[in-house]
Amino acid sequence: MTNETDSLLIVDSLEVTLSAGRASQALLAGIDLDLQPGQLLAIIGPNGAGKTSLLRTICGELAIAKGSIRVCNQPLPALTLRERARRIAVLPQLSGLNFPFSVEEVIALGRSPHDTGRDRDRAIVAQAMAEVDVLHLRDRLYTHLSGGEKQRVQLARVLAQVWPVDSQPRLLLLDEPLSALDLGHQQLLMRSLQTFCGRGLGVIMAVHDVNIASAYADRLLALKGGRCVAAGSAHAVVSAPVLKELFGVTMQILPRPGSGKPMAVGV
Amino acid sequence: MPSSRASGRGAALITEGLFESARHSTRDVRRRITAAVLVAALPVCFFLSLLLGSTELSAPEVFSALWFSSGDSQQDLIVTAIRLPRSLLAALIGAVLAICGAASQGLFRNPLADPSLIGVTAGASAGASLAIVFGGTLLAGAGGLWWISLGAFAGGIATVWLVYRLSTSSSGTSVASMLLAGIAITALAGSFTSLLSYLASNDLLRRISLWQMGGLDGANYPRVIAALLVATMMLAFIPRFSSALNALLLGESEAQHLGFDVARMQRWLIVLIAAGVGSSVALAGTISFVGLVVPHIVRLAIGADHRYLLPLSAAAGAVLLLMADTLARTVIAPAEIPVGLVTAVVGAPFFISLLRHRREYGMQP
Repeated sequence: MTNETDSLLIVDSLEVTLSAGRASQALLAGIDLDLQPGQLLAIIGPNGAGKTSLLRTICGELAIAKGSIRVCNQPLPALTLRERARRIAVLPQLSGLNFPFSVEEVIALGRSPHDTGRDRDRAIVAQAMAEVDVLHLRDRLYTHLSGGEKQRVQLARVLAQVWPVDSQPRLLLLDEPLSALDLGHQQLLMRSLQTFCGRGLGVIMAVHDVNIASAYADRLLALKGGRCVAAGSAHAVVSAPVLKELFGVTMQILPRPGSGKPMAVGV
Repeated sequence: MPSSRASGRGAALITEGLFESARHSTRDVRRRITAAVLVAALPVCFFLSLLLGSTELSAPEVFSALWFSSGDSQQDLIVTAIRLPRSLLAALIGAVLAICGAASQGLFRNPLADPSLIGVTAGASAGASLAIVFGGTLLAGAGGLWWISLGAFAGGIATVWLVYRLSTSSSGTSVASMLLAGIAITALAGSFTSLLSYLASNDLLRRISLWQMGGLDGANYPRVIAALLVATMMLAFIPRFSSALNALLLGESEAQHLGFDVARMQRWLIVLIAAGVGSSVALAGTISFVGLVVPHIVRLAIGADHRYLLPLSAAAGAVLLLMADTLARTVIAPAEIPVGLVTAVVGAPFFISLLRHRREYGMQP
């Protein structure tokens, strides 16, 4: 029973251009999206397809050339930085931090746009740490962690930022969150994202692994050259012709044991 | 969502909240200890700096000079007219240099970004020399100090801006280009100052070279008041950017996503750092490494959180410069060495040891 006004995010015929000097090059063209609270959307596509550009546009980092983006029924450019940060959290691909922050301090930064109070924030930070299995690292220095541990700490930071404290729907943008994680932590992350979606969080993630996208996402968006190749359910997007067009490889599609979701296997 | 689960979550949140607020991390304890040590050390060092010097005074004499000064006896004069303004100036300048160092390291997202290493001090010094040489009649009287400060501020702001532009891109600060830009600008400003020295008369030359060596021996109450104004400004404004600086350490776009206006913060901090370093150059000459050493030691003790780092660095900077100046005045008494030499003797080996651990600061091996 959803209509347009309930949407968390509406992207309407979006076009983004990269202007270098006089020449301008289209990064994204004709993108449409409608994300409801609680949905998990996965963006797939080859390198340079525009996955990161789309995420950066939704969080306001890249300017919109044509079309519009509305968050909670308000145009994105109308939101102040602070209002935006209270609704949208972003996990970037790389994060360099050279200062001796403890893990807990890094995660607590996720609460800085909010004013929920110190005790509440501490509790949220502790729960976010438990959610991505870094509670045992809380007093360690961030600079002394391994790559995968750093990735999980950054995840806990963005989870703390969009932690559900009221009925306000929030949006989490993840750019390749799984790249540095081992198999166990990949699954842990995807499960906890699903839990958060169950509590009204909207998630958009760019992923390389088509099978993870198919198994966990409610909807998929396949991009190539800045344009939408396919969009919709896993069955609609994870198909041999789409994958052939996206990646130029021939894959066989099998039903996943249990859920029956499509699974791509190399031939 | 089922309501029982929601209320269960809520209860968990409350109990966890109670548990969390009762928990004191080791960081909390260390912050308190460090603050207590500094609060105790500051008056002790201040008193020692009044007590020690080329003329031997006893503690009761210093006390009586401070509280019942008639201004007649020689001891009273030594304390109130010579040592007191000098100690006040040392404490204030130390605080300003340290808090500016901490802020600039946060701004550049690198613990090696000390204003004296990245050329700001040299730029301010060139600006001050320029103001001295071309000041003419403006140099006379009390207005001269403000004129020189203005020159130092202008030189400082130009260098911070230039170094920041050269070394920082959207992907972060390049340490190599930051330090190299600092070297280039220090060399440029140095040759510019030398050129000015050729043009300058004997009297001006002496003033310029005293600035370059650094010294608090020109301390008097007008300077103390100027330093007090600058220190108040730094302590009032820089800590307002604590949370933003914390977020900035994650990266520019990360700070933006956490709701901070990064461009505005950068503009403000560049102006504040240039004002702090520039006026301290104008008031006390070139005193290097305080902005590097102090925030680093404080960070080792309490971590990188700017909400605590900035004020505690200011306090530690005051303590350090008071100690360095007392040393500078007493080591070869009755003669004295410029305090800038003392801080450089301590600071340069410290910097070299930091370079040995450069991997930890995001530098290539």
